Amino acid sequence: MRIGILFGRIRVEEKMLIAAFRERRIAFELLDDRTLVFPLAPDRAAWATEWAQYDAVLMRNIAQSRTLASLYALEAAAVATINARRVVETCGDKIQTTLALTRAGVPSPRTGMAFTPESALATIEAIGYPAVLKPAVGSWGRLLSKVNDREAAEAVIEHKEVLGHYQHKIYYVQEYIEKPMRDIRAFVVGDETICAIYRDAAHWITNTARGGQSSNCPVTPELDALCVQAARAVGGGVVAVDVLEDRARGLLVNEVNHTMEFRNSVAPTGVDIPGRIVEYTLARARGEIT
Amino acid sequence: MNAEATLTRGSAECPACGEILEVQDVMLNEIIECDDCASEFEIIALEPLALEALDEDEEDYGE
Repeated sequence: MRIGILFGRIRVEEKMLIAAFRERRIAFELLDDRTLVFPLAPDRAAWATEWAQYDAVLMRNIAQSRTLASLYALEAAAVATINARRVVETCGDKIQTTLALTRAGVPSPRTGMAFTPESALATIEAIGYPAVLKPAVGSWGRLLSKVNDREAAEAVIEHKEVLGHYQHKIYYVQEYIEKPMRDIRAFVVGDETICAIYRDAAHWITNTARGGQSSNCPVTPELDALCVQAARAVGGGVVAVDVLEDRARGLLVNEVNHTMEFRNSVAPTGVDIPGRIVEYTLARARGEIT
Repeated sequence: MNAEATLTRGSAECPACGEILEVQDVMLNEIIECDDCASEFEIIALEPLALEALDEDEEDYGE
């Protein structure tokens, strides 16, 4: 069996995955995306044959656009990847995530999109204050803005307009959920929610990358069903589902992450997350699951 | 790439704050953080230990 781990940098998570492969005495190759060459045209045969030698490739790149670009080539070579191109494409873009969740009937916060300051303000006012502005592409809680009133909204919009990059002019607006100073991150592997954590924070942004504290969250049948439904909506595989607790509506899926970090979640849950990812990867490599 | 490329113990000067950064059981391309100034670096060579600043804002890094 030939397994590849495609990476950009080695984080704590990649070291944990490497240890899990070694524990199982499974040989693997570390593929640094900075050293790879993808001869795309005109001759498909050579590189496709080379990639086809891998029974599975675990995608652990740190950069979204490079992950996706690599996946276009791997998919063309018919290599099993964890996750699949469609999953990364959907989860990497919040607009696509929201649409996929909505299509599948997964409850999520009210969300709108606009492209100009005027239409962005109208979208925010239609959703109501407080509202949250997020970059459509991004992670770790970066550049999230909670706008509590019209003046704050106008200020954030003005800043986004002068930031320069066209992506800042795609306004992704969500209602602010009055959650109990925490959210839930649930880990889905295949058809099972293997564990979940609460991310507690005094700040409204609860990402552990931003200082949120993690503790075990029991996986109830309701949480399991919701998270598996959300995972399937984006294409399945190995994903982390971020869930908000709304007082009136119950559990709402906020985001789904495709190359999840889990360093702060193994200890509180007692679940061997890297081990489960490796087992899933091996099952994919053996063709037991698709 | 050699998946076994690890360093049991080593040290290098933090390129950001100049403090001595001690590392243990690290791999090539691993991200490490300076305890003193919290800057993040990538290990670009093991022997001798060499570090390069990690500019997270350069790319669409995330999870």
